[in-house]
Amino acid sequence: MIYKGIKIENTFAEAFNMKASRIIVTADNAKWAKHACDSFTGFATSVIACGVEAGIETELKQSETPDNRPGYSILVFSMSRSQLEKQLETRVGQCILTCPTTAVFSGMSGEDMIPLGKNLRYFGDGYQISKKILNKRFWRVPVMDGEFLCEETTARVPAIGGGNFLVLSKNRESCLKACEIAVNEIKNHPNIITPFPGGVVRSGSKVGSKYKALIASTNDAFCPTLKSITKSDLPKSVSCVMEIVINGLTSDDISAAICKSIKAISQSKIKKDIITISAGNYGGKLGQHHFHLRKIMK
Amino acid sequence: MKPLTLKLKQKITYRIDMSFLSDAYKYKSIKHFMSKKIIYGNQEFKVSELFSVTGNQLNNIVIKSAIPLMDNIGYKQQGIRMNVYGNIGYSFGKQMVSGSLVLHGNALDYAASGMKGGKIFIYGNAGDYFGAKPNAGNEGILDGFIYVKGNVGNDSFQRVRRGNIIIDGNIGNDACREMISGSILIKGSIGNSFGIDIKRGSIFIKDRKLTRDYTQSNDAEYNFIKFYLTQLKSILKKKIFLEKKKLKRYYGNKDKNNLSEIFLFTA
Repeated sequence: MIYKGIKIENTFAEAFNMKASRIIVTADNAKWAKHACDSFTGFATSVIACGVEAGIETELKQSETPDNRPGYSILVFSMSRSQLEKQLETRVGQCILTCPTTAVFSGMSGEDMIPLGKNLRYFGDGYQISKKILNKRFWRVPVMDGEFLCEETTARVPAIGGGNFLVLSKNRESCLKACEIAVNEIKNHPNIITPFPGGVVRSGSKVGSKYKALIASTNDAFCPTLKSITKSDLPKSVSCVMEIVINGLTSDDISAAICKSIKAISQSKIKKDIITISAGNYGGKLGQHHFHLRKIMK
Repeated sequence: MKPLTLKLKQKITYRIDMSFLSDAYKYKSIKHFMSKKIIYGNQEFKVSELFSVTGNQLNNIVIKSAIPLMDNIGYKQQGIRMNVYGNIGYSFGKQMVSGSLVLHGNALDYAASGMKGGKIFIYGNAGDYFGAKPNAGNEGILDGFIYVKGNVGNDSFQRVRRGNIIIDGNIGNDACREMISGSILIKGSIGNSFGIDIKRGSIFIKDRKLTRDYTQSNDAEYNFIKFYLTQLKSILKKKIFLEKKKLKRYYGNKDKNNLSEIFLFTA
């Protein structure tokens, strides 16, 4: 299939069921809210070693936040409830509680609630004050710049992690540029995040390794340097491959983001250097969700 | 769908228990509801014999031309929206669980007594024992939101445990006695013996005399205040009188068991 001059492989991205939560971080100004969010979402690229995958979903206007201050919404994805709870608590405690002027709120409602500030309140050493407004409880924890305000709980909802597509390009410069265009296009798309640095991954992985201790290793089929010695999926003209991983709350959100990204690449001048768009999968046996590129781009 | 609207067919002389409205949503149809029997005086009457009823939304009720002989409106109500026009009797929204009650008139004593949740808006005055503990209970308001445009009588908000209360008028004597927690914003003046044996809670007030036994806190930024007023404003759908007012916080009472805080504003 050729989509506006770009070849789309007849393949699919394989994604997994996850659990997600949204939190809203506000501060006196957007700069400090961003500091807190950057810190919170740092080292949260993959559940393989980080516990959770997290990213900034979008910047929020003052009128969109619970306390009418500038803020950001963050989506956090995890494979298990316990890991999500643990990581939320640790990250809020170390990255948001510590950041001047910030406050943190739940960004979604649901029946399955997990702690947000429920245990962090004990940092107040008995001086914390609880306030319940309608059905939500908030904690005011005294800190050196005044008070840290946090909502007691946030909701946990089913979500999908690992939606992806691969950009196969003639050279590294154009590959990176195409990925930047794609990520930029979906950076404020609701309900999704691209958890890797800048939204782009250069070290796509396959399941397993020749070393028994490792559960994942480099995706040699897409490594241009290994073309001559491995069963490669790369055409001869490809010298660089990069992957954009998209986590979302629903499969529709991920499909829409993939479509939007590829469309953006196809509308840019860089498309002349793009050989093909492919996707990462594990043969379709591991993930519960399959995103067929050609169906999405129809 | 139109709100279920009730209006008395004729003048009444005895008090009437209106708590039957709290169960209205449980009826299968208007017909069933109209044939429900209620006690008036020493006799039983069908609802349709005492009230003219129009509309068909059993969880959205309007009472027109209410009179002070109507007691227990919204008693233990759950999930119903009720609008009442006129002055009403005792125990308005007593032990209410959820939903909303709006009164365009005055209420007699024991309104919001033992309230457990939901929202009460009174665009008039409220009598004594407002939000106080009910006769059979040991705690006042357990949760919920209350707005009173006018004044509130004596002995109100005894043993309030939780809840957010805004009073645009004045409040009578002996209010907030043994208050356990919760937040109260009072625009007008307070009566004598306010907050005796108070334990915790936040009180927004202009009356400096209440701060006598407290220590003034340093002028810190309270993230909570801006957030709180934003939330209250969104519930009330109008400006809160505290907006743009400078608040001074008093915390730490001579009585070590008193962990309440006072936010003092200038009128």
